[in-house]
Amino acid sequence: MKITMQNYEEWMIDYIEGNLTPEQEKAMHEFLAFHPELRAELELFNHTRLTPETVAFPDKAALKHEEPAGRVITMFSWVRYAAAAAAVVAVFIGIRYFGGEQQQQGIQRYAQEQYDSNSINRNTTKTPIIESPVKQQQQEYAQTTTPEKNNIKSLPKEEVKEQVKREINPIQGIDFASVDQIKSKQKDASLRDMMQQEPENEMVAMTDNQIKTGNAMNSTVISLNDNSTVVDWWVDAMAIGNEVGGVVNGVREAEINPFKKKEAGAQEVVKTKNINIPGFSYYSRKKTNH
Amino acid sequence: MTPQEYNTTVDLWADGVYRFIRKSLNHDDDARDIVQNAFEILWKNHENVQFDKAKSYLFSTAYHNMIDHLRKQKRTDYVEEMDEEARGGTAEAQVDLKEVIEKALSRLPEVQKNCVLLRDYEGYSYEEIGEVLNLSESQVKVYIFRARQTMKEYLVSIHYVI
Repeated sequence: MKITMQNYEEWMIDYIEGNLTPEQEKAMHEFLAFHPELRAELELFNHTRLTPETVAFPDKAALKHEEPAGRVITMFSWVRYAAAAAAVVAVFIGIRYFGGEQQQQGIQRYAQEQYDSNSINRNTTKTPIIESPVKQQQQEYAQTTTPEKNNIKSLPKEEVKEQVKREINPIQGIDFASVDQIKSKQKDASLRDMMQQEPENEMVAMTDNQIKTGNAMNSTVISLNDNSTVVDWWVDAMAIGNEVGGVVNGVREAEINPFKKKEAGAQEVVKTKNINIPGFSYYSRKKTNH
Repeated sequence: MTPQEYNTTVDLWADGVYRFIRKSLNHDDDARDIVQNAFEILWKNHENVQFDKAKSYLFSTAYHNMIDHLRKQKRTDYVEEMDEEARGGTAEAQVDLKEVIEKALSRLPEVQKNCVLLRDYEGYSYEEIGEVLNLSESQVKVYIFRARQTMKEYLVSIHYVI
């Protein structure tokens, strides 16, 4: 709506009320430029705006009401609940801590027994490093030892074990008895090769803890007990860290998976059994440097 | 609203609502009683009133208390008002701007006066004024427009010179 001599009062009131848009304000100022006699009227409208007085209610305190004591009770009850919750947590922690300690003792005893039995029965130089065995050990132990020796009660579920197998040990299920056969044949073959002085690079698994690389003329024996020679551990072997035991066997990848074609120029990879947990065979992988 | 929030309401709005009622009523003691009564009502209902609605509730309650109060005292006020107007008519050369504006305000119909008071004193929007006085937004705007027009006419009629 355009500002005119008929409606300018409305505009002026809207102006002092702050209802005009910037464009409308501009229009009004232009209108006043043409009608300066109306400026006095705008001034009068401006005077109709009241200036707020500073007035204080005489007795505010009389209007107020006391805040009930319920608040304090609420705080007390909160503290009580918190204390109760803390006590429950403490009990749980206690059970876990002391229970864990007991379990740990059982595990250590078992580790020692396992070590002894390995030494006697297998007659190998293997030194299992079992500092903090996983639960699967307990299960295996429970199955293979007499019940009166076994105080460990918390055993993992079978499906958990299966899952662990699938996830961290993809080569689980390989028949290592046949691998050993292949290996021994290979050993014979390598001896024949040595006799024939065939100067072809190859890697031969020798004893339980050694791998021989190179050719017959210039060979190197790598001890797999020495971790520094194992350059590429499987991630899962690293993940369980302290559960990694002594290396017992070196197996060529081709022996594990005969159908896998060896890529030309690819590094020979030797998988070594290096995690000594009963019931599980974990393998680390060693890249040989030609 | 909690008792704490009620007490906060006292701190925040007691002065404002008292100023509004006192100005509208032009009587200190009555205004004080009305405000006190409004807070008593608010306290009784404090559990049902949200804190963010407390100010509007308080002004509205005080306003309705005032209307009731005015109805009871209508006759007396009417006489005083006539007297006041008779005196105001004779005094033409008032120079104090504040007094003139007060005079102009006091001549307004109650509803217009209250709209202007809430607008200028409390800085309420048209919508908020409508909530307190039970009016629509457009009604509020019209009342304020008429009030300012009347006040301006009054300033002109007494030959108020700026």
